Amino acid sequence: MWTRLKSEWASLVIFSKREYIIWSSYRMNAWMWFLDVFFNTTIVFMLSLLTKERTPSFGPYGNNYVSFVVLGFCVHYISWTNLGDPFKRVARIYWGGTMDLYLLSPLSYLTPYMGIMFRSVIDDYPRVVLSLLFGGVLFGATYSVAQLPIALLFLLLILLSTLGIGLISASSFYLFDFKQSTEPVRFVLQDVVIPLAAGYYYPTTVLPHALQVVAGFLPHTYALDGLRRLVVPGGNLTVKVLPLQHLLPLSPIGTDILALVAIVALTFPLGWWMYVRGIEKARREGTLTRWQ
Amino acid sequence: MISVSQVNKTYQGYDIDHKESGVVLWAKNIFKLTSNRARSVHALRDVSFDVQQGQIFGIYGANGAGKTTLVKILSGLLLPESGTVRVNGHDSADRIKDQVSYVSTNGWMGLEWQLTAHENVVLYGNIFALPRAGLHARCDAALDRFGLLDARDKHISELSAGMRQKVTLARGFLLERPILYLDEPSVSLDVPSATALRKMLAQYVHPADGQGPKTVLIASHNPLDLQICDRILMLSQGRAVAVGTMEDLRTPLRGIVALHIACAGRESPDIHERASQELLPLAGVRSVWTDPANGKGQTWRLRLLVQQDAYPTGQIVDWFVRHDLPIVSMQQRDVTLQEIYASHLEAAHVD
Repeated sequence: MWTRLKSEWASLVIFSKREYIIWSSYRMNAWMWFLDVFFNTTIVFMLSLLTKERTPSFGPYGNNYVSFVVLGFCVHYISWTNLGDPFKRVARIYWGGTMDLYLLSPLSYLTPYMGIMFRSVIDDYPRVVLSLLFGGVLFGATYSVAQLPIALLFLLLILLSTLGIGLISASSFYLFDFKQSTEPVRFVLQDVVIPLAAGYYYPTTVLPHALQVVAGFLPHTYALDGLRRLVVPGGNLTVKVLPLQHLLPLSPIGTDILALVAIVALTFPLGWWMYVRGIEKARREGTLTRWQ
Repeated sequence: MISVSQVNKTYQGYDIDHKESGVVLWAKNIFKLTSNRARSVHALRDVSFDVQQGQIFGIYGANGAGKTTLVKILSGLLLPESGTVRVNGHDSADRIKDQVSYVSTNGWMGLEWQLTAHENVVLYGNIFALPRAGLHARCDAALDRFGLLDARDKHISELSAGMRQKVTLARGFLLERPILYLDEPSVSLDVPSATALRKMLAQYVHPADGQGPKTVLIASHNPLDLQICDRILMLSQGRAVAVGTMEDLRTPLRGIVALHIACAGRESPDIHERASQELLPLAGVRSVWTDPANGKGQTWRLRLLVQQDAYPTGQIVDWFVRHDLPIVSMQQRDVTLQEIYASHLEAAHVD
């Protein structure tokens, strides 16, 4: 078991090296990456100027709009790697004709999928640091680090919960034969529901009640609630805001963590199971790669 | 070593695109996805055969015959609907894959275009969990085997199709598994490289380093690839039409030779029909084939399968003279694998 894990880990490292070589072979990538984060943060700063004359309040989430949205960006970048990219990743393996190769190897079904993820990790995760940096150095964002370990736990939980949903999205390539450029799980969540209801730019309290209920099913809602309370100066740790926080006899932070753990516990095994079923279906049907 | 019994495989929701399955345009991906799940292609029907350790075994058939499907099933990549497959004592797909090294020249050959030839082979070695110690030297040795050391640091995108194929072959030899599968191994290789590969395979099955004999399976539509095979399976439309040594396969054509008659110019559209009608009734003439003129239209060829020493040369030449067809050359040759295949298809009443 230990040898097997070591071998899978070694393969993940090799895949990651490969992805780094490929990513760095496109020289524009680093510039685009830098400029994208810079302009996104600048836009938020410009929006924050609208509230400069007044003392804005985002409820328990402090009063610094740039900090508020920069944390939204952090969650968005992590979410993009784990939820927006997995379907494309499987499509890349399929169209590249390498799925046969991977399945002949001793690797688990999931290792190539995780290994190929590293290109997106290189592309997206450093954006988290860059946005915090730009926000803080250039645009007046401030962060409280008193509760840093719990804040990092929230980042880990949003990473794991979106990983599970991403696996569900990726599995649809083989399981439901979505061979086109998109598929419903990713489209509905990543492109429609999350930008609208997760509260990247505004607190979910401004949403109509129905959308607040929808937001209650998104991991982003809980991650952002917890992170903003902990990291934005002036954040409040006791005032309950989200519907689930009113239902459970726990602190808001405790409720957020519980909700995220529940989402991880539900989506990760389900996503894994669906992904494996999808590959096995393709092995039976002869659709592992486009090349027959 | 390999035992296959009554294996069946059907692809649901596929249809054969006959336009793309011709010999002229031999596209790999001839199954076209259809929206109609009720349509299906029988890729393999009741295929059975055995391969002994140390043999070079060939699978011969036209495009779409089921060769790649069969190799994928034999490597554990695809699961058959029914029938049993046993490879080196294992019948579970997950165990079978550890016994074989599968070199496929399909599609992009699983190469990473942004990596160099050496990096590709190292990546492959790592994915297959080869020991780290000495891996780079081993990869260089595999590349050297195919004369690729000078190109080791070139990106795949900078290599010719033939060189890319050699990288794929080098990877296959890296694993040193007891069984090696090669799917269309010479498709992009030049003649000297294809000849060298055949020589290498003949030595590979009986290694000089004291290891036990290896087994090689070659699936190809190119008869030259199968020259070195101890036994050959002939596949057509998913059916095993014949299996045996070259001598076994030649049995229905014992005493038959091929008469190749080249004529100047281009053939007329009805030449095959006329030749069949007028030459087949002659004593000793068994089959008639027409090979169309090449691009420049300098010569076309009529091939007759005839009874050796018992065919009417004079009457055949007369036929050409009568139809004003200028003969450029006339040669008697041994029947080819393609002709043997066609005669087995005729006997089995398969198109």
